[in-house]
Amino acid sequence: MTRWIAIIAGLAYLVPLVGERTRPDDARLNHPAWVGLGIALHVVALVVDVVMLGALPLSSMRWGLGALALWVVLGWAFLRRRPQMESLGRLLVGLALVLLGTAQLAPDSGGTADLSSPWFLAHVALILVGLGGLAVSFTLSVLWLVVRRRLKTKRLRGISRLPTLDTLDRLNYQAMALGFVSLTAGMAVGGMWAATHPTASLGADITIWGTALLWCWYAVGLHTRLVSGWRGRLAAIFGVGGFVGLGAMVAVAGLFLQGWH
Amino acid sequence: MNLVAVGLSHHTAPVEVREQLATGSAHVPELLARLRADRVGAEGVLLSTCNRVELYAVAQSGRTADEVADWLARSSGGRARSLGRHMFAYQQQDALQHVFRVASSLDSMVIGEPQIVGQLRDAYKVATSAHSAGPVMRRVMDRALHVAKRVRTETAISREAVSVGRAGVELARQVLGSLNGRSALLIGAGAHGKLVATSLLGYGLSELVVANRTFERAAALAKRFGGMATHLDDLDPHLERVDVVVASTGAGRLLVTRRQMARVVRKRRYRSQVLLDLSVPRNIDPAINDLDGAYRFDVDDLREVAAQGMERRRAAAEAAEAIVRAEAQRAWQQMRGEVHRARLAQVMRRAEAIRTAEVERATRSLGELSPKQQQAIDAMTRAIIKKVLHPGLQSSRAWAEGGDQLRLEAALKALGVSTDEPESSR
Repeated sequence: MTRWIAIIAGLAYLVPLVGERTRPDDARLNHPAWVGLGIALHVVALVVDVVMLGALPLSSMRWGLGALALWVVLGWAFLRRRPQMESLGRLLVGLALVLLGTAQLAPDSGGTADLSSPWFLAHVALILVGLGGLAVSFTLSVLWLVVRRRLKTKRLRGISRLPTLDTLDRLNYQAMALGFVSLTAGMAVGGMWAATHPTASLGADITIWGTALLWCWYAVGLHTRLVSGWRGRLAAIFGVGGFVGLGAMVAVAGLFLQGWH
Repeated sequence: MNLVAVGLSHHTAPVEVREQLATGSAHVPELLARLRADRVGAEGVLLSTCNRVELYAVAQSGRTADEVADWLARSSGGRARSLGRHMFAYQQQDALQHVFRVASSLDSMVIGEPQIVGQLRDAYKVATSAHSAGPVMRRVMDRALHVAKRVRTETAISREAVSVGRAGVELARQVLGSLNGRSALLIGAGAHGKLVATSLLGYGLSELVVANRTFERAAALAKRFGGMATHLDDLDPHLERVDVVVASTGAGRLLVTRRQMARVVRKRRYRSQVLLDLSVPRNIDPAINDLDGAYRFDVDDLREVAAQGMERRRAAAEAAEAIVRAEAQRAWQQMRGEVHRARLAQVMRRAEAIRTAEVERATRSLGELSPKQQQAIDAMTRAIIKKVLHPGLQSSRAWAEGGDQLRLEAALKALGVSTDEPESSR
């Protein structure tokens, strides 16, 4: 049932998104209530899953991606009425819809969280926040590349409605830094939990090694910016490349293996 | 209330006609004093700019807008007959709507230009200090400034760049974000370059370096802009440092080459830099645009941005017109309501004066009355007045709301109220 609630939430997000493009003057289509309805249904879908399971399904890929999509949607709700940020908001909600759709395709595999273990809870929460930051960084990077291309190719029509390159670059750095720090903390806490958990055998786990690789990728990206002062295109490439790698890893782990771990 | 807006503008008259009516700010108080002395209007505000000479006034009862326009043409030294066909004359709600359109920059030559609000505010100040802006004009002007602000914030009418100077700023901001604390290099002293440099400085640029073939000219220009001067053959250190480069020379050759900039962008670690080439033939190698971090635009790009800005302003003007129409209607109804309430108060005051006088006369002939008897007589006479006046006041309210001015004036006259504006007198 929660799949259907999530799908209706996705449709509610789509209404103002389509409305903005096709009928910008239609007050009913562009009413903020659609976003509110979508978020409410989205939260309901996540909560019902918890209630039905009697525990937090934190290690379920479906639930995890759904929660990640909610983070991204909240970012969109925050940005959608800000000047020059509409395009970024649209990209974010597009990403959220992809995450929500993927979540509905993902199997219900994965255990429930051991609520008695604060380490495990902290691990999953930190990883989710980290992935949210990296998802936003990816969106900002894509938009940075789009705006740059338009400026370079002199396609200047409507350019002033897009965020400035400087704003996108700055936000990208902040999102990537937040994602990286949370990911690092999440990995450290997860490692501590695994060390004390007798059933954990994570040596051959693709997500652990994949995440470690991604961590290195983002570490290099942030290092080049902080130490060498490189920004702009290089930072955008790191943002896009990292998230594409993350997506590939999640797809392999979620669709072909047994879930997150 | 007889509100009029008369005058001429760039829409109705060429500059040689507009200059006949133009009034210097020193002569405005005198003209406004004459407006009252000639019993043409009770209140007035005169707006005289290079694009318009307009008088907004509360005309004396019975005066038409055309009569006020004739008076303005004669009083300003213009030949009334020759000016007549160029002048416009609006009355009542149309006049109010015109003032709102002017304040909102919908009537301007460049739609959305911000100067008109300041000019209108100045005209209002002059009228106030000349004791020519009474309660009605104060209401009109305050409302007009409010509508102008609403239009500016709720529509994109003044957001888009429509001049080459502002287009340069917009492109620089699209890359660099805020220009606060940024630096720029101006190569040459061409007109477009100076225009863009002036606009950039207006957006918070902290440093401007001016380079020119003649150092003395660069120094003079730098002094004017509060910047520093440099030689044309010493560009590299500045190119490595500044965020915006503006080239506008008549050199007829490339002054900034791709090879030179390839070195510069590496040294800048690919930090964004905007290069605006406003020269024809060009001074900045177009191939520089291929380099990472360098964004080069020429004068055609700036013109395109300005043209698009104008197009979008026109689109935004439609939304702005709707705001102005709605505001004018609302403000007019409110003002008319206030005037009507003032007149009704006048009726009630007159009736009360008659009642008091009659009660006093009756009391004198009746001799000593107890307080209870006095109260009874007061209550009775008040009730009589209320009941007698009620149908007339009700009808006049309905005519005022319905805009039936003829019946309203007749009714008020019958009730003994002057149809001149009692509330306009100071």
